[in-house]
Amino acid sequence: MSKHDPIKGQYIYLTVEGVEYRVYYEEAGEGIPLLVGHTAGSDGRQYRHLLCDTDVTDHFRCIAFDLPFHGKSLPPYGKKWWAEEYNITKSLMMAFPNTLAKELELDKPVYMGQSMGGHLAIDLASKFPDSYRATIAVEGALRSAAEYVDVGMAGIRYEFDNPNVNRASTGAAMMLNLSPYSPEADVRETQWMYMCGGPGVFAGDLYYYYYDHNVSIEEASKIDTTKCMLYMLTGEYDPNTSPVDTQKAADVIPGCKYQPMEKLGHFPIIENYPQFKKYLMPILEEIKALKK
Amino acid sequence: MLEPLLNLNNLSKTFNKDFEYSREIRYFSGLIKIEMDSIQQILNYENGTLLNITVKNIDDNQCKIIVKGDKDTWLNMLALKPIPFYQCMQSTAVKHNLYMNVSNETFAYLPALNRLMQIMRIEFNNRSSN
Repeated sequence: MSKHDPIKGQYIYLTVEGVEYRVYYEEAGEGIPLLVGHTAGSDGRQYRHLLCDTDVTDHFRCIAFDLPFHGKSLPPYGKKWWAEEYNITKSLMMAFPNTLAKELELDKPVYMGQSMGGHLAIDLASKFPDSYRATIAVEGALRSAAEYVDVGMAGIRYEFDNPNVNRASTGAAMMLNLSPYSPEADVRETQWMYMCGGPGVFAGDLYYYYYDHNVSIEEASKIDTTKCMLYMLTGEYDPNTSPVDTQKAADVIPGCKYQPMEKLGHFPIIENYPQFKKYLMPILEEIKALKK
Repeated sequence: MLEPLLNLNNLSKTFNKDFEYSREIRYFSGLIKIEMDSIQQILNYENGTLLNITVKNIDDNQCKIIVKGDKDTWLNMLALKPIPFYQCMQSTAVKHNLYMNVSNETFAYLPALNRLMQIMRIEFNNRSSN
């Protein structure tokens, strides 16, 4: 008998900010809708373990989408995308899950994302608290670590969008984000996904991750967790959004819940899913009891 | 003469036999400087072939890839399970006290440098346990 994952994928057409995108998403499970967003320069394959975990999918309809230019979502067909620099904005980042949720007629979904997807969880809780019952920021903060922000977009493009450097180096660079406790097969898989990205896409994603995502303390203090509960999880080996950075957010967002994670890096959902699951399951249990 | 924290010359056969390292260093020509606590070790390559490893002082401007750190920094990086954020050269450079030069070669050969670090870590811990 053949062996399959219980994951089904398909394409949906989404019109976002006046442009039509053919967006790939895959899903598994049934119950409370759980939209999951990938990191910069990678794609929804990062959720393959979650989508096969019946402890989750017995209660949650998990939907992993590839942002345009990522994974199986091509650049928009009707736009001369090759004639301009790719930089993803906060506005576009928020619009994609919002539009996908609307088109799929999801009833107040939960959103979870890691890295730039984790930052997005904070932005969605702040800007669209009526649209989500909860968001989970994995490796999220008000802003990314200052040492990286200070590099500037020119430096970022020199490292990650440089014709002298092949894409294997982007995967190799992710070593700095990975925990030495993560299994090597998972580490290599995480890096592989980064090696597969389109030219300039990772660097363009970092425009949002380092610059366009920049939540002020004033904005953070107004996030209403009674409308949209915000959970935050950060791995101790993440230098880009370190536990210290997430703690700064937790200190000013009333009612949010933050848990640092041992032995995990910047990619908990893919670099060591069993370890991440220890921290995720109590949150999902709590969400099951939340009122919509 | 002071002995380096880890003598890379003793690892030259390992470097040459290692599939991943040999693949990732392909086509590289020039000098790589690994400086541990002021002791410079120079890896000299021609088209991906390791010609020699020498302990001598060479100006940075003659090297295409430069990695420098003090003893404590290297000891932290060489630990089998490093504490945050000594897990690799780049994280140590950003969060701690390691220097890596910014050049096309440093970025292009990052996969080789990662593997180099893995081999060094394995060797250092094997040696320490003997």
